[in-house]
Amino acid sequence: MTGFRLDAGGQIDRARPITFQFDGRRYQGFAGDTLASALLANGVMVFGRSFKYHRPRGVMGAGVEEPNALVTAGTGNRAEPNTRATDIFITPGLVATSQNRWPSLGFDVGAAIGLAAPFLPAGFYYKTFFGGPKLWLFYEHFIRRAAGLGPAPVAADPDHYQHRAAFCDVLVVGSGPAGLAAADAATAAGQRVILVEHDSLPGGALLRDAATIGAASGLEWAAAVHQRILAAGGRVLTRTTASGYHDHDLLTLVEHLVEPGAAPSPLAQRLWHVRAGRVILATGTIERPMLFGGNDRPGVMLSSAVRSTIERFAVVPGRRVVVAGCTDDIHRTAASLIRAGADVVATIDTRSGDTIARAHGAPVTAVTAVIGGQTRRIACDLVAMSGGFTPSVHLHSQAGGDLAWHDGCGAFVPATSRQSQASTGSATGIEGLDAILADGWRVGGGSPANAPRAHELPHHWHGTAPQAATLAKKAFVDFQNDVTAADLDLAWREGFRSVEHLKRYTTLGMATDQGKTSNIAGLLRLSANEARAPAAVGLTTFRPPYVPVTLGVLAGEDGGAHMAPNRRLALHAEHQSLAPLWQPLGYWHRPRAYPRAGETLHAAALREARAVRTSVGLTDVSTLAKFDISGPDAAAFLEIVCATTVAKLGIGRGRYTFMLREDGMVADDGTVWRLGESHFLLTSSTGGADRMDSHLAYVHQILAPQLKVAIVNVQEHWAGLAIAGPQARGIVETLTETAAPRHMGAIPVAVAGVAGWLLAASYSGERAFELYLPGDRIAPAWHALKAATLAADGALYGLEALELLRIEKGHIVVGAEASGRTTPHDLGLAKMLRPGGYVGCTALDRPALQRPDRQALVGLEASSAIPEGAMLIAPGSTAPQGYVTSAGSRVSGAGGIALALLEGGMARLGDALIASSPTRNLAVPVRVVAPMFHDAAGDRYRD
Amino acid sequence: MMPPGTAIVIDLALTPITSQTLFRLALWDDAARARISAGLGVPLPGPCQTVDGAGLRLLWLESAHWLIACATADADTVRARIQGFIGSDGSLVEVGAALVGRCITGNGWRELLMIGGVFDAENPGFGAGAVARTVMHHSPLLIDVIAVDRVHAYVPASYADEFFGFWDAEIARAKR
Repeated sequence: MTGFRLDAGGQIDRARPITFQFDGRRYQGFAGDTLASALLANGVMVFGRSFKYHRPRGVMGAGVEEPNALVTAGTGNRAEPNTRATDIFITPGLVATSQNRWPSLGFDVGAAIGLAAPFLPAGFYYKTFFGGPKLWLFYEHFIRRAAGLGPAPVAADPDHYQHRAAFCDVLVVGSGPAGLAAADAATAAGQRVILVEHDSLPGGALLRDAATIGAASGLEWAAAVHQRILAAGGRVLTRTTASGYHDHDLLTLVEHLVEPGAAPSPLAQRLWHVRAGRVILATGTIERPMLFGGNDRPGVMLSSAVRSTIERFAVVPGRRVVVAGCTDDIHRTAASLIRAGADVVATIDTRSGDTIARAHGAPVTAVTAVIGGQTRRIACDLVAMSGGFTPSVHLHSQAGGDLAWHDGCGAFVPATSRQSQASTGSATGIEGLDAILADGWRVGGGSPANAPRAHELPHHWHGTAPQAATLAKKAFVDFQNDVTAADLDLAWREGFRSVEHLKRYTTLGMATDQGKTSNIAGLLRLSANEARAPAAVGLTTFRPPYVPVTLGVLAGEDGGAHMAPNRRLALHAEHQSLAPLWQPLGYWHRPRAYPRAGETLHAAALREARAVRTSVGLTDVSTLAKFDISGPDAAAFLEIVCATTVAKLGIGRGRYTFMLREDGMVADDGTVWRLGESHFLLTSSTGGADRMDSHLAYVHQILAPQLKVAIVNVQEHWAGLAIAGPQARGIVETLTETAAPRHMGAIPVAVAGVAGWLLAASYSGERAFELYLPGDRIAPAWHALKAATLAADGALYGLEALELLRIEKGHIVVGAEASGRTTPHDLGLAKMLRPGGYVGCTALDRPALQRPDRQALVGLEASSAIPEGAMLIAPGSTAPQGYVTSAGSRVSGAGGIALALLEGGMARLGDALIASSPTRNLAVPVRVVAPMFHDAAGDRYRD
Repeated sequence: MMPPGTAIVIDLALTPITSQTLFRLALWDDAARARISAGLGVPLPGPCQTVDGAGLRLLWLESAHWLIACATADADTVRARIQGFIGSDGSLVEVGAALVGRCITGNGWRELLMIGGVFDAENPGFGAGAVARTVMHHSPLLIDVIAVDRVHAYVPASYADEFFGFWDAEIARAKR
């Protein structure tokens, strides 16, 4: 046990002790502690095992960059794996568990893999796992078992997540000195400001490094700025990470409303979609580790993380400390350690040629250092190392910005911005608090004269620790994926010269930390091997998210029943009371059938369909697309939209029609009704309703803006009921107390005082009517028609029966026969075409659309069921000649029938083919017939 | 008005909008617009605006299109009157059954409208007399700001159960 808690100081609340568990043991920390600081205060040094070699690992960092101390926070279905111990603030009852070890963290059988390390070089997978498919299946079993760190919960997530939009003039990411200054200046200028901070407190580096800004301490100044932003109506979002910078200055922010693994609150996390007028990135820097053997030992930490642990959490992570690095910043850490009572046994400044060669022990017990040319072994229980600082340019790069190499930082800094975005502070390579404040204030729009001023000694953090050409074993570059400098050297020797190839071959930077601490170190290694400048070697691509995010927050509210819209019929409750089988149709839900007790779907559908053929059936057709089209030019407009004649329709008459895309393919079909001299109702398919709405707007606004016509989507205003069968007419006339119109006639009606329209149209092939009434007033008509239908030995019918009826009648449906690749000629509709003047007519003249071998609509019949979707092949052949678009059984009689698209179409009548469905192991002999199996003359629906 | 971000959802109440009929008005002639304005005594509202008058509420929808809300008891009279103004220079179509409305009362309406949405309801310029159409939680949504603490929200009838259920759940969650 080496770490200890100071009696005073830090941003923790000693009056609020918190008890939590780690690997089954109970510990105590204080409110404000991270899991890492609380465990360090309790003397815990080993937090987990590494991914590949199962090496014991402790805490290295103090924030989101932490690559080693990954734990599972929470239990059961609220467990969150691979969470950084430095990024969890402890809450009462927190249960955290170490990962990637068995049976325990202290004794891990998997550590035996470390013995085989010499046989697990870079690219091990590529060099080992090859061979035939069966071998791969064998390998896959083991690879899958080895993959990942913490186990993902398998039960449903019990927490609630929310998506929220926000808009602002200025979004500032990062609440360190630069970010605060920028937000303060923007607020002073009257801008709507959102300030985002990943930490629980604003302040950034001010939380670990005391400063005086103006007349106040750094933290007092930060609190004052915070208050000024809120007072001006701005937002300060703490525990919120800017995870992605997308096009058009849209940023996604993930806000933690409760800590990982904590008991639930009304909301666990919130995903903000922020659209900002301007974005200021004050994202600071991330310290890099030094390269030396055993640099991954528990007790080897980043220098600034040691200082942060002391100053922020009042925890000293070691008593006998070696401080090493390449910048003045290590001396701040040494001073902090000394003030806290630790014994700094060596301060090794690599700029003088000294360095650490190797760390010993796990946790660390000593280092071998080269000081003044002499190799010395120094006993210690903590190493504070600094390989330099890397500006955090992730969001700048995600926004499309360019980077430039900065020799001082030994890293890339933001260069050209591609969006309305600027970077500021140490993220741009600026040194010194005063300069950082001035830059933040300037970027925020403040005048230089009013910039906040800091009073401090010059502070230099530029520098890069040299990398020895030959390093001791196990000098890690990527700690989370166990990538060593030797792995990178080997990959280079094997010919991997591109940084992108190197990344994928060695997995450098591909772990959950996305290489925050390793990318530059790896790049410098490649640069040295290549003898090329780092800028010439380049950098891998930064992609969202900046930190791992939960799938729950990405889904937001759109889970469970809210995963997709569930559009309900106006008569939903009435249908639901009949316990139908529901069928999703797009976002709509419609009754598929109304089965009786013990009845199968097919049996129910057949019974319902036969009722339509023999007596009467009632179904809900409310989802059909419906457009009210009126105005002096309504007929002219419809003749552009529809490929059939429209203008010649008499008032009170309707007809079947279809619409083409501009490429000549059938887009949709339906009916068009002339309700008045300049008033029409156009119906089209349910699934194509939104598409047709857009198409009509396109035709009016782009192709024919001169027409005086109004197009109103009345799909949801008019609910519809279809009543079909030999007794339909009598029932309708009784209900409406009006003589029913003849086939394809339309009359206004009133049912129970509610005005609507009665259209005589048949989709089933029987005498049929569609009654349209306002959706909020149609229930009485439904009940009356239902009672009359059942009294006449009829039936309610759903989509399944409707499908059987329309296939038997040979009616096409959009999405099946009208597949988007079929012309009117292909579908047997050519006789209905006008000579021209409609959308798509020009395209129909293309020679390819005239070819006689195009797939065209036919009917199929067989002695058994025909598999829908099956390929049509000639006996003894495997070459597809077409496919089955819709299949069903005869409503009356035996055998299967189908509609199909077949090369040559109706010229193939009488051909014997095979409907082959290899995936269902079915091959059904079929015969090509006309696509009409019922009442070809249409006698049944005409009076 | 409360500063953005300070309002909370907890003070909200949702009540159905009933006894109201909606018409969609489309005009293709400015003369008709003048006749309607003169006849009703109020101008047709401009982009993203609403106007109250003559027992009606008129909402701008898009170029040359408006939504007219009136008491259901007056619907036939309103229809006849406006059709008389527009003659053959426009159309008036009843669409009331296509939309289901809720009246949101309380200061937290802006917060509620930001959840699952993409529209800047927190913009100080979006106040009483403003109207907007947007998409929220999968559904088209029409927002009619009546007063500083009262908004009418309309969604297509088929989305209404799920959409307003979503709002009810969010409000209940905020109250826990």
